[in-house]
Amino acid sequence: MEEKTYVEDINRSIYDIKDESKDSYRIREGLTEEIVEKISEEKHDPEWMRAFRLKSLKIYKELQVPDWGPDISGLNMENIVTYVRPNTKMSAKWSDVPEDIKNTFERLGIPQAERESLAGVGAQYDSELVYHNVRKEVADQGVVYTDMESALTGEYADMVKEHFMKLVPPTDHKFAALHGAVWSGGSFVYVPRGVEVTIPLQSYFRLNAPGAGQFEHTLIIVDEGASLHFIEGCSAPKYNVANLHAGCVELFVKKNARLRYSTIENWSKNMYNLNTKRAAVAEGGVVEWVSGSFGSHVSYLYPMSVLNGRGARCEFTGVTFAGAGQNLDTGMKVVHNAPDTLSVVNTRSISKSGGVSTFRSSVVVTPKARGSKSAVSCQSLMVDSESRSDTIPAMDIRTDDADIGHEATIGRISDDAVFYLMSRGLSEEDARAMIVSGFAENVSKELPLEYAVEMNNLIRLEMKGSIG
Amino acid sequence: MNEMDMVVNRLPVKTWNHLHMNESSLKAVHIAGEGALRAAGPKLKPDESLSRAFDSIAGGVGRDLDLLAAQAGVKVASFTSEAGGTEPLKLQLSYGEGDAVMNRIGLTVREGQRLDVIMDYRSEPLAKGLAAVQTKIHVHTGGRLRLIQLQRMGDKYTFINDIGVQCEEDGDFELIQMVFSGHRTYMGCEAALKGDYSTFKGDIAYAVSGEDSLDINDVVRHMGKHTECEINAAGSLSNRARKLFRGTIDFAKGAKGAVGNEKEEVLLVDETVVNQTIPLILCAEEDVVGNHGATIGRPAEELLFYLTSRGISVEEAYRILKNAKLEAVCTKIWDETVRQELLDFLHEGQLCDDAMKEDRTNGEA
Repeated sequence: MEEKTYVEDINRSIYDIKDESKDSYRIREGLTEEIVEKISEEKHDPEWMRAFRLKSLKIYKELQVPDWGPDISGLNMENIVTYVRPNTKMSAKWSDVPEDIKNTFERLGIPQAERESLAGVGAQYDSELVYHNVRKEVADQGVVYTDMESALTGEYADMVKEHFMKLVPPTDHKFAALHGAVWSGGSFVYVPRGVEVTIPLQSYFRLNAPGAGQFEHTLIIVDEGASLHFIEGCSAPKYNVANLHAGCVELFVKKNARLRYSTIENWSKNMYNLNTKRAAVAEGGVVEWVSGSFGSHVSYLYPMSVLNGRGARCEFTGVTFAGAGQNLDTGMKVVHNAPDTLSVVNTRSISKSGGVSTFRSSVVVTPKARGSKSAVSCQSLMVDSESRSDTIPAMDIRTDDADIGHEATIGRISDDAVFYLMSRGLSEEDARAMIVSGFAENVSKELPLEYAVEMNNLIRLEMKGSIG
Repeated sequence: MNEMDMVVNRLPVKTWNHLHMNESSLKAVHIAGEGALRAAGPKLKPDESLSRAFDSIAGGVGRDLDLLAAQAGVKVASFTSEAGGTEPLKLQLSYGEGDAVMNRIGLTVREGQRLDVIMDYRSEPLAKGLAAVQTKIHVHTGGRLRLIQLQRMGDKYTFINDIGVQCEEDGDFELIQMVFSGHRTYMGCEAALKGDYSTFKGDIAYAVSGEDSLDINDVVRHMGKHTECEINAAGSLSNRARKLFRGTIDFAKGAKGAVGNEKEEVLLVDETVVNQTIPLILCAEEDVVGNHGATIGRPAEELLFYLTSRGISVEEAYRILKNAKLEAVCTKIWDETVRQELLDFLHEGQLCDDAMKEDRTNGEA
């Protein structure tokens, strides 16, 4: 009899606790001009933003759904509520957050993480932020960390207007256009020139309302010579109706600046995660993406780096774990658009229990990018034959002066490795579990576990195998 | 005159459309007749069953080529292996100015038999035209087919080269393709490893220069248990050449013990070249091993330094390195006569670069 390792799903119990929906305002389902106007009115948008939303809606209606990725026919925008305002205002004190919402974030470990290891926290519940705070010593350095709505009308309004959806224009794809029309919440971060933020900032996105969408916008500008580590976490309880996440992240890494953007995505398995993330990196700048994709029913997620300045660099480290009922299409894109740029990509994916994992990437080297180098490595592990794992890496090189390397492997747990470990006294069960764990560890060790307890909960895969 | 717009070389799984790698298109393709096929070597019998089942074997170029052939009424010329046969079958297609022709060739390797085939496509250097060849292959249980395809087409020729293979249990298919010239080349090979322990080994070598383009779509479908494939593509791009390599290893559910390896090495000679590569591994079976590796770029500075420090000019160093990609595959050619002819062809500097093409166009060469 052929023996197999069974790798348990992630223990989701703490994420699946649902709060009773006590929102103070919930827009009706669907997507119309009237709804978009109403969202704009509710959020007290400046006029340019109202016009931007309406223009985005028009683009949304003109664009087609992608014909190349996982099936999203189960997503019907007519059934999605695009704006749900929780029954509270944003606060800078946890004590002011309503008890039920606070309990949710307590369970996820956010306040504890803030106390122990974060420079600032933003917590979004459905469509709005309910908590936002930044440590005084960080604020004293001139670091701005606030919600997008405040930034849109406050001191940094011009900066927001200059950068908002410039990297990810609504014409980029249908769900970028959707985001432009109905976005709500998210964070704005500005790190002034030369400032090094030594401990991370974190935003946490929680979608509680069934049948709702979350469309937060994150805009981060790290000025010349500055550095920042930003952590993003997201989760939702599971419902029987489809939920949608179509957030947008725009990162501007200026000359010689450095930004690490870490994400732990653990949406529930009824979630369509159609998120767009992009970074523009100037001369000598560095963007590091650390991405863990564990949740959602369907994901389209490809953080993109546009290396616009000489010597700009990007590093992408990702792990995707697709279990039962999941089709996770993840990967990355990089455009080398300046001389001597460098990209390094290292990903792992694990498919089990009928899950589908696809690694999709593109490396584009323009004629301007002479002297550029790229190294992409993706490794996939099939835990059983009910699952599927595909690798679709594209390279488009338009200069001779480039050094491009790509390697991909797919395979199963090696019998030789199991034999070796068993000969050292491990049971077969433990040996297989150790190999699977080691496969993911190369990437998961990069995840900032020390900064948020929630991530510990998420990464604690039940690797203990069972034979049979 | 019936003209057909065709979509060819489709990726088995699509990716972002903006990359323009999902497929290629050809506009207003017209076939006026069949090319003059010259067969030399053993007198092999036709295989009527393969002729009838020709379209049931999928080729890498895609179904539109089957439709084009049907529309143009192109007949299948088929050849069947003989027991104990060792002499290679040589098929030559020589094309002329203004041709718009197509051929369909069926190759059957009967159970436990072997067949070696050399297909040579060529035209006059300045000729303009369009030619298409479809080769469908059925390797029966324990059979082995070794196929060499040589392409020396004119600077203005569009050439479509389609291969479809079906391998039964323990059937082996070895393919060597060498592309020396041709203005627009579309090559596709789909190998269905249906039988357990069947194998595919493919070597592609190319030198694309001038304004020429090479568009490749190779797909290996591992369906049987313990099937193996190895795809190696290597070549050089110079001047304003473009190349798109699609390579897919597809492990179907049930293909336990299958192993697939794919490797591509591309030498980029000029800053105006365009190289696109998309190697797919599709996997629905746990018990498989699939690997892909690609190396794309200029020669290492150390290597160039070494060559130039020995008195070799940079231009000559590049020529040596371009030829080396082709020679590495030449040495795998099992027919000594063909191997030597090609090595001579390379050593005599007959491989064209952009300057030679311009000279030729201006009547100076």
